[in-house]
Amino acid sequence: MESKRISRGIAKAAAAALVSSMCVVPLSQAKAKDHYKVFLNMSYSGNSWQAAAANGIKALAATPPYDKMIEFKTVISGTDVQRQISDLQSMIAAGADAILIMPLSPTALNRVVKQACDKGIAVFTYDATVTQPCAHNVSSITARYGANTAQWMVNQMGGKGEVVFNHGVAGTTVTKTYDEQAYGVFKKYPGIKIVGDFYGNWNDATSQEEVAKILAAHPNIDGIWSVDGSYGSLQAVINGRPARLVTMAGQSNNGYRLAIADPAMQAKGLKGVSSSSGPSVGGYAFKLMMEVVTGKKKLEQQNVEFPLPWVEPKDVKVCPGDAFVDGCNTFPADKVSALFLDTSLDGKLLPELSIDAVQTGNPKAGAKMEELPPVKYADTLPGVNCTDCTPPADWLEPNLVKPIPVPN
Amino acid sequence: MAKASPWYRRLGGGATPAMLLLILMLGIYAVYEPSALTSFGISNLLNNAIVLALAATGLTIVVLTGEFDLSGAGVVAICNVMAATLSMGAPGSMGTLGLVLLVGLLVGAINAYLIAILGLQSLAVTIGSLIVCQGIALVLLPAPGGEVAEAIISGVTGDLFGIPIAGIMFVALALAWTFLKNTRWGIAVYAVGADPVASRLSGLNVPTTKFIAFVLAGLCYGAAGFVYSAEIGSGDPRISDSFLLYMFAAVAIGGTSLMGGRGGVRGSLVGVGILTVMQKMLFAIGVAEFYTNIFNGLIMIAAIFFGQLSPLVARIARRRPA
Repeated sequence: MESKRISRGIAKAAAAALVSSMCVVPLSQAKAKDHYKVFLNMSYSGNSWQAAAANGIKALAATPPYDKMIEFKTVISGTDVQRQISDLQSMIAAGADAILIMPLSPTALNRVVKQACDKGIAVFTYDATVTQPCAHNVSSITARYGANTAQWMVNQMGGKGEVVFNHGVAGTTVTKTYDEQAYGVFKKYPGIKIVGDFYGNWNDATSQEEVAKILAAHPNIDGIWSVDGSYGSLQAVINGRPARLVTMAGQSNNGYRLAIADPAMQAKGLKGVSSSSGPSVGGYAFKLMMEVVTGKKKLEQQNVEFPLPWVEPKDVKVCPGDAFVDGCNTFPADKVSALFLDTSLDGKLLPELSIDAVQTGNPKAGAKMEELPPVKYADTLPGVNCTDCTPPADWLEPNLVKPIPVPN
Repeated sequence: MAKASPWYRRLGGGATPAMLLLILMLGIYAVYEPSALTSFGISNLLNNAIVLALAATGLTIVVLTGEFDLSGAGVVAICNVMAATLSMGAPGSMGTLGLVLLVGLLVGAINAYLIAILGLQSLAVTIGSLIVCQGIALVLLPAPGGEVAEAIISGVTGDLFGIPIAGIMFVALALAWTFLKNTRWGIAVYAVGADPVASRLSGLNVPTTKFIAFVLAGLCYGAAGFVYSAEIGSGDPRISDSFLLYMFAAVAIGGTSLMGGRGGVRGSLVGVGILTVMQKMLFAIGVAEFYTNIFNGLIMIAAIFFGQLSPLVARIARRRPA
C-alpha cells in the first residue's frame, strides 16, 4: 500500500507539472538586428575531419564582432537521421535565426528543412548537401574531384598501369558522384587496369589494411585513387614495397603532403596530388551564412561551390608559423600530427583561423572577421543539390587538369 | 489476493517505473519548451516516435520467445528504398504498402524457417539477413534519392479528425498486442520464451509459435520502413544504419527480458517514448555537444534500471510470505 501511495503521488505531481506547463505562454522574442541565434548541427562526431570543421566554426563564432552578436550553440545529433530531424525541429521551436547543418542524408531532411525555411530561418549546409531548394548548400562536391584527380593520375602514369580504387562510404552521394567521374576517366585509357577496389570508408586504418591485402595479390600496382584514407593507403605501400612507391590522389593529411614533396620519396616513384574536400568548408559556410543573415551579402543562387583544394608536389610550401600566410599550405612534421588535415585552414578565405583554433575551437588572439570575396555558384547536380534539374553536359569531365591523348 | 491493478500499472504494461520516468521527462520537456504541448510539438513528437515504435514492437515479439532478431534495420532499409522508387510509379501508394509489407513478411518467413524449423542460431541467422537486406537496399538505390508519393506522406504524417495518424497507430499497436497476447498463441509466446523445453513437454508447438513471431516481426519492420519513408519523403539506403541500437534499447528500457518470457509491447512503447522525449528534453534544457551523448547514455541506464525494478519488487514481494 505504501509504495502504491508514493507512486500515485509521483504520478499526481507529474500530472500537475504537465498541466501547469500548459499554461506557460510562449514569450515572443523581440528580434533585434544586432543579435542572432545560430545553431550548428553536427551529425557524426569524433573523427578528425568533423572535429576540425566544427572547431573552425566555433572559433569564428567567437571572433569579434560575432562574439557579441551571436548566441551560438552546437548540437550533435549522432548518426541516426531521425535524431537529426528531431534536433532540427527543436531548433525551429527555439527560435533560431540561422542553422548550419552537416546533413546525414541529401534527401531525408528535406521536409524539416522546408519547415525551417517557412519560418524564415536561414538554412545552410556544409560539405554534404540537401536537395531541398530553399537551403543553401556550400560544398566542393560539384568541383569534380573524381574526374580531376583521376585525370591527374592518368597524366602522371602516362596513360597506363595498374590502379587500386579506394571507394569512400557505400550508399553516399559523394562516393557515387566521385566514383562515376573517376571510373569514366580511367575507362578512356585502355592501358589503365583497375586491379582491386574496396570501400575504405574514408578511414586510414581500413584503407591501409585493404591496400596491404591487394598489394599481396598484385605486387605490381602503379597507382592508388582515393578520396580519403590516403595516408593509410600510402603507408601500406611504404610497408609492403618500400623501394617502389605509387602515383596517388587523395586527402590533405599533413604527413601525406610532406611525403609527396619529399625528394627521397619522389626518387622511389611517389607522385601524389593532395585535394579532396577540406574541413575549412565548414568555416567558409559559416562566414557566408552570417554575411547573408546580416545583410552584407546577397546570394542569387542556392548552391555555392567551395574551391577544391589542389596541391601538387611543386605547390607544397611549409609554413614557419601557426597559420597559412604568404601561400604556405603545410606544417613541419613536429608541429602537427601526420593525420592533421591541412585543409582545416585556408589562408585566403579563412585568415581568422590558426592551428590552435581548429584544434580547440578558441578564436585566434587578435583576429577580426574579414569579408569574403565574391562566391562561385555551383553546378546543379540532380540528387546532390537539386531534384528536378540537369547537370552540365560535361560534369563527368575534368575541368582543372588537361587530359593527355590516349597512348597507342 | 488477486486485485485489479491500478490504471498507471496497466498503462505501462508491467513497466510502471519506466512509465513514471517518461511522464517526468515529458513534464520537464514541457516546462522548458513552451511549444512542446502545441499541436505542432505533439505531432512532431509522435511522428518522431512511431517508426521506432513499429520496429520495436516487432523486435519485442521475437525477444519474448527467447530469440534475437537483427534483421529489422535491413528490412527498414529495403522498404524505404522501395517506397522511394516505386510509389510514384505503377504500384501507387497502396500497391507500395502491399509490396513493402510483403517484403517484411518474406524476410520474416525466411528467418522463421531457418530458426524455428531448422533450429539455427537466431543471432547468426539474423545478422546474415541484416547484411543481405542492406546489400539489396544498396543495389536498389545506390545513393540517396527517389521520391515518396505525396499521398503516402500526408496519409501517414497527417491527422484524422484532428488526431495525428501517428498517435492512432500508437494506440492501435498497444491494443493489437493486448488482444494478441491473450490468444492461445500469445500465451504460448510467453511460455516458450520462459522455458522452451517445458513448453514442448506440455504440448505447445514451439516451432509454430516462434515462426509466427518472426513473421509478425517482419511485418512490423516493413510497416516501420513504410512510415519512415513517409516521414523523410525520399529514399536513402543507409537510413537505418544506426537504428538497431535504439530498437534494442527501447525493448530493454521497456522491461522486456532479453532472455525471453517476460515483458511486452506496451513496455517497449514506453521505452520508445523515453528515447524520443529524451532527445527533445536534453535539447530543451540546453544540454549541448558531447554532453548530450553522456546524458543519453546515463538516462538509458537509469531507465533500464527502473524498468527492471518492477519485476524485482514483484519477486521480493513473492518471496516474503514464504
